Amino acid sequence: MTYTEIAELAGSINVYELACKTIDKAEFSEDEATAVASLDDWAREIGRTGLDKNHEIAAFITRALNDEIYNAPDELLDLMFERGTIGEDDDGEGYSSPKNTLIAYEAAHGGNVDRSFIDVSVFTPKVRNRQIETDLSFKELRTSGWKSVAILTEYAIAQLKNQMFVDVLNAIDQIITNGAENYIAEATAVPTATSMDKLALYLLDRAQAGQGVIIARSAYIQAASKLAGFASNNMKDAVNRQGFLGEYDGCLMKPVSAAIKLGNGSIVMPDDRLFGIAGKIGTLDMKGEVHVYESEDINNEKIHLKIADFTYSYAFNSTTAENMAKIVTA
Amino acid sequence: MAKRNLYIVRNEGTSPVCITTKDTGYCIEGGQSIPLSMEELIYLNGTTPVFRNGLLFFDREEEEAIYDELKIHNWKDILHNSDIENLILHPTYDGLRKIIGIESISYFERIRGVHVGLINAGVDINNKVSAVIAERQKEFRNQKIKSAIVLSKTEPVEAPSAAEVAAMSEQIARLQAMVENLSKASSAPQKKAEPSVASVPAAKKETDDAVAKKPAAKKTATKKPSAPKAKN
Repeated sequence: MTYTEIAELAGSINVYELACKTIDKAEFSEDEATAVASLDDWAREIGRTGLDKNHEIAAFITRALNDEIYNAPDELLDLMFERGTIGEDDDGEGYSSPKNTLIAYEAAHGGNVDRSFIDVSVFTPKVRNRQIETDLSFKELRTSGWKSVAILTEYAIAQLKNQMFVDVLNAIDQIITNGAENYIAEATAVPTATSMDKLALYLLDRAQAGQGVIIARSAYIQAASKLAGFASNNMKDAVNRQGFLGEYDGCLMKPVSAAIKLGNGSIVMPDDRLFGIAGKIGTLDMKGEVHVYESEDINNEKIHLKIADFTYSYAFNSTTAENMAKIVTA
Repeated sequence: MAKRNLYIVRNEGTSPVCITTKDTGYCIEGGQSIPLSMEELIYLNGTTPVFRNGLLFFDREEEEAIYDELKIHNWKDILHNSDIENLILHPTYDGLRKIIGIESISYFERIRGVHVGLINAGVDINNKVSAVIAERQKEFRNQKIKSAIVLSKTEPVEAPSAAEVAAMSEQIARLQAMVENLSKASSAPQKKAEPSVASVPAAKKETDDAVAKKPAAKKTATKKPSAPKAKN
């Protein structure tokens, strides 16, 4: 297998999809099957010789990452943020649509009244940079071939995306504090009709129907789906089939699995919280491109991989924070 | 127990608190209060930590009897918002221990809420208090219910009393007199050594001045040649 052939392959197929299909043992199309066969030979050859001459593995992961992270839609984050990309050396600045604070005074004809103003606030984004370093042993490459590269690619992408989600949610969690109107304290351990109504009303007041989103752990969405009272037969059917309802009072409900964990074992979705987002609350930009570096370590019989420059910046401030709410359960 | 059937339950905070009793649910807005029967209070206390976390309080006159009935014996330790404010503004070892000891997120969010409120109001807050609250929040995020934060106790230095000050100043006066007597007694043999003692600081001054190359060095006769150099 020559270098040009691998490059051609990577150009003609979605490498991330191929990696996912390999891990899930899904059926390949004819093209994909030939691609996997050649990729398998290629990976095993690296395992045998310990030489990845053109740093193909790194190039492969880079391509998969850039395909998936910068081009693929990400349902939850797309609902919450204006997504975009900025260059590695560029800087961004966020603007919120200002509150309408103009006052219409009662006036005598021909007279003057006090001026009133609107305040356009600028907010600087918070930039985070995440990085993964790992090893891929020659033995692993010889044994599993292409699959070892596929697993590494898919896992790295999943962790980077999850970490970004965690960072953003933590920032949202941080900005809503007790004492504000958008902090709803729920006395019990799961959401009740009272608190869900309160949250839904808060979101409906600030967003069009269908634009409000409630995001929480699946356990809380399940509890909210099964609230007794006004369930129609359709709703009962939906809960029985899927376990969750898709909407609550016109607000989308998005469950996040409690089984999704970060590499260190912590759970992606924080406990005791339900977040409500009314429309877009700010911007989330990917900054620059991911770079993957690689070096063969012959003495330790492995390839060292460094997945660097996964940089993103998010921006929202107290004005846009009014479009978010959270329920905190006891 | 009290003669009335209904007891006032008050939300002292400014965020809404949602409670669900056996029959119905209530959402108590910030600063508002609703009347509940003892059965409802017992049900609420059995199913939720809402009274133990200080999300809801009772009227001051009847709180002792109600807490007794609900078997919440440490009710005096439940922090009101004014207590939290006090803990943050006037931090003490015991006060911070109380904040760290909180094991419920909804209780801790009350502390954080007051803290953020004070910062937004422009109040000057001790950095250590802010650090403790931020660190504890990080622990909650990592599901660490029992805190690993260690505080070290600093014993305040007590100011000496008036009697101690008087005793000490008397002692100093006595020592001063003693030193004067001693120097008078030994003044005769000291005289001989005086010139050499005086010359040492003078020589030192010269070298200091040479290093600094300041115009002030003109004072000493030996420094004269170097003075214009400094000016250049």
